[in-house]
Amino acid sequence: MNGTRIRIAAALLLVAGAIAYVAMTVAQKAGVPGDEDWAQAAAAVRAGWQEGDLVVFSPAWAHAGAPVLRGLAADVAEQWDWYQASKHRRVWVVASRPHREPEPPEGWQAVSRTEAGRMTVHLWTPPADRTLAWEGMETLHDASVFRGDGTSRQPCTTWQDGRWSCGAAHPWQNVAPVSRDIAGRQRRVIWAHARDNGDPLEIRWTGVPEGRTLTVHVGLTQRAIEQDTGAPVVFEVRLGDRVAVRRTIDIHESGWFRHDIDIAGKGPQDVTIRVVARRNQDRQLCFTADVWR
Amino acid sequence: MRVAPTRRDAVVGAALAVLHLAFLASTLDVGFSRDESFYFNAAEQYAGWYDLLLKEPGKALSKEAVDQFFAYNGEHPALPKMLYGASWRLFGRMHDPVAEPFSRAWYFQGNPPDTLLGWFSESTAMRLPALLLASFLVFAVYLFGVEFLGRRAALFAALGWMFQPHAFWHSHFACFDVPVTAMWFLSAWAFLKSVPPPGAPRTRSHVRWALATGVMLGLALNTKHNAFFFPPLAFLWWAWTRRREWSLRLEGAGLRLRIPPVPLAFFAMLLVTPAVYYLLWPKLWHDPVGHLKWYLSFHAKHEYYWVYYFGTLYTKPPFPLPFPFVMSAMTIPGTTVLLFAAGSLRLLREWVVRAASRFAASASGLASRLPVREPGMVLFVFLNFLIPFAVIAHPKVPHFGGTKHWLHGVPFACLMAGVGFEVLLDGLKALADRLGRAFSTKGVRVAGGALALLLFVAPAAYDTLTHTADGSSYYNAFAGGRAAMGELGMQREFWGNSSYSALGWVNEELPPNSRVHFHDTTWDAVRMYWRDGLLRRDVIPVWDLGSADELLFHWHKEFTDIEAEARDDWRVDLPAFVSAPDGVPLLDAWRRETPRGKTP
Repeated sequence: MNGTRIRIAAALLLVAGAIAYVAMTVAQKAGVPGDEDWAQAAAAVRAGWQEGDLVVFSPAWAHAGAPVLRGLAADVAEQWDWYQASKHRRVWVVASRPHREPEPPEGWQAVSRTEAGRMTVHLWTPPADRTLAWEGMETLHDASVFRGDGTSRQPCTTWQDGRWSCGAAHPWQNVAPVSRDIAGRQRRVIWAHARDNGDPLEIRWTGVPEGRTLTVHVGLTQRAIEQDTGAPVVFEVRLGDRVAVRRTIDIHESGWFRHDIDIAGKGPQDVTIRVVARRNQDRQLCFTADVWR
Repeated sequence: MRVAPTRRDAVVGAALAVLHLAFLASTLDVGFSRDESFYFNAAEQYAGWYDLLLKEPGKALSKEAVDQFFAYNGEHPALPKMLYGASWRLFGRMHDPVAEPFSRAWYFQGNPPDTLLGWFSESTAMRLPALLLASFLVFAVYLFGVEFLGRRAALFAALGWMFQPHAFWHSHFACFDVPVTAMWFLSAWAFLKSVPPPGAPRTRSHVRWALATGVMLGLALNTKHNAFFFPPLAFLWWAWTRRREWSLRLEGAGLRLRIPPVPLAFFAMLLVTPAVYYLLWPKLWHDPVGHLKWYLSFHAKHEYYWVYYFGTLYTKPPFPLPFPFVMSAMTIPGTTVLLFAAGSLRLLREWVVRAASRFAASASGLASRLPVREPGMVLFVFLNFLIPFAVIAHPKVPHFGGTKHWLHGVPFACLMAGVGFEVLLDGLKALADRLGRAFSTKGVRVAGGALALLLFVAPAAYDTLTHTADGSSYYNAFAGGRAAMGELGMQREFWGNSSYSALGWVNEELPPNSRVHFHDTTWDAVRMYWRDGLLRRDVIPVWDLGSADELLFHWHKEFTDIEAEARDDWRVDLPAFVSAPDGVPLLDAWRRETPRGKTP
């Protein structure tokens, strides 16, 4: 190519780039739902709403019109959590561009799809082959909490404001349901901040109902993994006296780690969660535990 | 080569500056960011010093007076805040504490000054010097472009700088970032004009520009500490461009070092700049060494801010090295980015061809067809673009999350985009010539040029003028538009200004005496909202969830725990109001459904 051709090609490329830019701008603006679209979407959801349903948004962060859905159970975190959503009977997915046509996750069933202007409303049901039998979060009050103190083991008997504390209430040395940013989104979890000097923290449920699977999630909070403090945390799940899961979580290790433990045919179980760290500064460990039939 | 701008150039530059001021003045509905609110407070406190200066000039210069009036916000030079304070005092419409006794609480020490001219609201009066400086920068960019790169490049450079949503938004603030951008640009321009081209004699004009460099750099340093990087840049540029004039020879018994003529501007930087710096910063008057030491150490050990970048929340070093480059590529309008890329490639090609022509005769022919440019000028523009970006890019330097900290490099990027505009026009001209005589008439060429300008400027203008209230949330269409914030996990607002978008809802919907948690919006910003009549005066600002009725949650990844706490404690799943331009939530307003102290 000679110089003139290169010059012409460069100019045409620039013009094409500018035209593409204009077209992208127009397309992006045109896809943004307005109040009328949100009203239509909300009407579709409310018309079919049943107790136990949940609203999520697609993309997960796109809850601009959320106020028109007030009063309904909903998830506004910036990422989906289909495991948590599967605890609901049905899930309404209120969708707009760029994910106006979301696909249900594996095992889920798409029940319906409704056009709502520039939006769509999808109704999905979670996998039908399992039901939730027990949640550690909901039965935390029934749990026994112990903390090691050197060679002794001390029960924590103070249940106040929905938290277990040993002795007087403490702002972070407690066991309690909280919401925390873990592995990219806010999660409703059980807070079990590690103790110092390798002293264990234990949360025990006795007679946990029978089921097929005990599913445990565990992770450190976003605030914890940002810090260079503390030491790795050893997390254990015990069924009776047997250690079913042992996981060491490094101080910067981000994740919401799932463990499925087969408990089929074993009858009601005693489930103990054990948390140990050599140095506990900022070791904000959190977990959930569920039994599925 | 240098082309002295004509009177007509000055008129064009002034017209662009006036247009810019008109755009800025007609888009003042910009919420008060955290840093601006602190400077409002500082400006108000500093302004008290003028009263003392008029009454008792001797006392005003005393250490006691300086410590009294300039104690606050000593981590930044006083000049911008002194200007904002003077403008506020002169032009601001103050509240009358007799007619409105409640308004006392909105002012420093409960003492609003008397209204003098009362032309503007208080925030606009504070912002006025920054608006004027931002507009003057447009004038300077155009004239610099005319002088060193040609009129066509200059025109696009000025328009390209005017129409940048982030820079335009920052231009409104009574802050330091656009002012220091202007000061840096003027320092650089003065410096370049003070250095005679290689081989040319030094004239009186060069001396005058050298003095101007000293003064401008003093003003720049008095605006923000970024300016400390200019002298090393200037030295590096001079040392490199005059590298062939350096020599070290053995002569007689010793070594003889020959150095090129040292620009007078360097002497001005050593003598004039410190004097200006000292004179305009009262905190230096009585303790220059002590305060300077504290100031430098404050910035050397600056705390780290969160940076949300491609789905990762960075809280400490190492920060991502490409951050400023990638953020600018995503937050400068796409058409300007395209021309910047084209301009950079052309300048790179010119450099390669010129370098090659020294070694290969075959390249000399190519080099002779290149545009004639002042030796070293392109490198100067490039370094002024690169260094501000590179300083922030260093993984150990706080990245802060926004785009304002390297803004002083962006006008130079616009000048390079101006060269890209030349590439476009040259190519279109070649195309017209090829298409035949009917297309190469002057009328067609002018019309084609105007259309090309429109094609590249109109999208940038549209992007800018549709993002005036929340410019820091702008991402260009190539990045996916504002949706990039959600899709790619990027910073959404910077910082604390988004409350402004909820004030209508607060004023209209909330019951009397509502206690509002303003989250990232500061007390100083709330005071100014009251003073400007933008917020109902019965609203009680609190920064504690337990005692709040509403939370104005500014969407920041690092703060989502606060929002979750409100959801959990108040047992509500969805916000009552969402500010979501282009569908991306910037602010969620949460409302307690049961009275405080009662469990839902």
